[in-house]
Amino acid sequence: MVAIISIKNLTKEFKTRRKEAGLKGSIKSIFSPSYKLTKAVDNVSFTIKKGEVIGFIGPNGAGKSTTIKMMSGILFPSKGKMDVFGYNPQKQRKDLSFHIGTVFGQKPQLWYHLPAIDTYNLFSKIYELDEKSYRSRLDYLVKLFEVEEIIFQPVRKLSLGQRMRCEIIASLLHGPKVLFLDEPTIGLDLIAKKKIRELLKRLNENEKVTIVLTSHDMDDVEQICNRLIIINEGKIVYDGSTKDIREKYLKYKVIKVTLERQVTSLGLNLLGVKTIENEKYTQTLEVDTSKQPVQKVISQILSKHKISDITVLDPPIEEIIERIFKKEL
Amino acid sequence: MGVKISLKNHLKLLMEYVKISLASAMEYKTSFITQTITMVINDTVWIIFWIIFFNKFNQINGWTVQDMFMLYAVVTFSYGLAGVFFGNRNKIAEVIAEGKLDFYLSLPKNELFHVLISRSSWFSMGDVVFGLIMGIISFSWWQWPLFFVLSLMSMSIIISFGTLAGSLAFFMGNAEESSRNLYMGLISFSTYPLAVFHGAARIILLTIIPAGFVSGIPVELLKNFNLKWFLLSLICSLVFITISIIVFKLGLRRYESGNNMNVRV
Repeated sequence: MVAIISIKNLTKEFKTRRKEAGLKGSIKSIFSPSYKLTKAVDNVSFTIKKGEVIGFIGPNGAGKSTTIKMMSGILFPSKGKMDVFGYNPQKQRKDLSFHIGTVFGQKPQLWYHLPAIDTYNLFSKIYELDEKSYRSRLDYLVKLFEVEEIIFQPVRKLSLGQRMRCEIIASLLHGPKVLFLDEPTIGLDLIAKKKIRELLKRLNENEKVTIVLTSHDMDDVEQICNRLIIINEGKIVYDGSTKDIREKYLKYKVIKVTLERQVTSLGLNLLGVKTIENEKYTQTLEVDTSKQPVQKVISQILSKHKISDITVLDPPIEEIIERIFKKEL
Repeated sequence: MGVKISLKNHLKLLMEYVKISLASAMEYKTSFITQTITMVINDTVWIIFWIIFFNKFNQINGWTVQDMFMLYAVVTFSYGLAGVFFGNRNKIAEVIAEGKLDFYLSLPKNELFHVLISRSSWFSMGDVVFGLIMGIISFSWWQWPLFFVLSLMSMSIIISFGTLAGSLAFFMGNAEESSRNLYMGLISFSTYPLAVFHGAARIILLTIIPAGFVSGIPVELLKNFNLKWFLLSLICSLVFITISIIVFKLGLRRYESGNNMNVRV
């Protein structure tokens, strides 16, 4: 398939003022300001093909959002070349905006005091959609996202999950070919997260919409993205299939157990299980799932100890990146 | 896809925004009505002050209390229009600093125009009403067309000045306070008779802080029309519009966005 987006040597530098601590430092910085150049995005290149679902992941401040914002024409790059549907996002921002949709999890576009339908009507005017096709598009999206009732309620009365579904619809009204989502599941509970993931998946299957999303939630990406770009300190550290990452680096699960009584050791004698933290009542274990199924570990803990809480987690994204660097395995 | 970015479409969008923000204001009817009435009272207090003032002094450098009525007609009407139709005129610094430009930059409309119109300050409606009342007291019928034209020019200067002051945020980061002070400065100076300012102060008010062109000159023109000063006013508003657009565009290249849900500055 053809590449619809190609990014070459993209760099974004931010100039930040450096200041010594305290009032003295503030006064000093007025007379002799010193600046520090930080590279939020550092010489990044990749291409995106039609219909792909790509996850941009990395810790906070890695440069995920900055990259997406440059691709959608919001930020000017310091260096590099971009081609999005044959447009240059910096020079042809308005033309490009008809082909892309953007959802920023932390920046709502819906009018807070009004029902979502009012914002949709306004958006149809902003994109100059003709009334008939707008109505049928809206009907379709409203059914797909299961928000028939709630688009008539003031947005302030909706739950966060409902609101996010309504936000995404707003970005899809003009039928974009690419949807950029920046942290679409931020702050949502598990069920709402799952719902959003399902919808995005369906959208990609039904309409062949290319989806690029950022997240720092490994789960998000694992569930819906077939390709993964991991970015750290502005640089791409991994670009490849999600499957590979899962097989290579997501073989670990972290189990956190809180016990009712204090013990020195859990006394498990299982292959592939490592205690990584041992506090009075809480023990944290790392389980290599290729050697030991998580269920077996849990059932052994349950049979041996009285526990008050247990959680199973994926290793945090920072740790995966660390492992990639160390070329473990 | 053929994309038309015409003035007509932008004006249509302006009307859509007026409708949607009126609908939003109507969600809280009492607050909306209270704000409008408060604004009228606020303006009335000032007029009473000037009536008392001129009772004592009769005139300052040829300005009488009737001139003050005209000045308030122009000032409140043009500030009111700016507030109702271009409600973000004094919030640009905030929009930039809080990364809210992202929204406008992802939509197919002129970003500056879109920012300006996307908010309506409905209590400015009080100013509009007050301006019209002052107009009814002061003007003969033949002065009305000129009044509207001059008010539109004043409005453009106010909006452009607000944009310029707000664009400081692109260049100095934390500029909300300075930009608010500059904007408030323009308002304060334009509510005094131009005749009280001399020398350097007068020159400043006809150039860098164009308060003279917002109110003083329009009043002079409404009293005695003078083509030279009319054209100078027109040039002043066009120059300010152009500079504000250029500065905003230059600033955009430095825009840093940001992901802050709430920032402390």
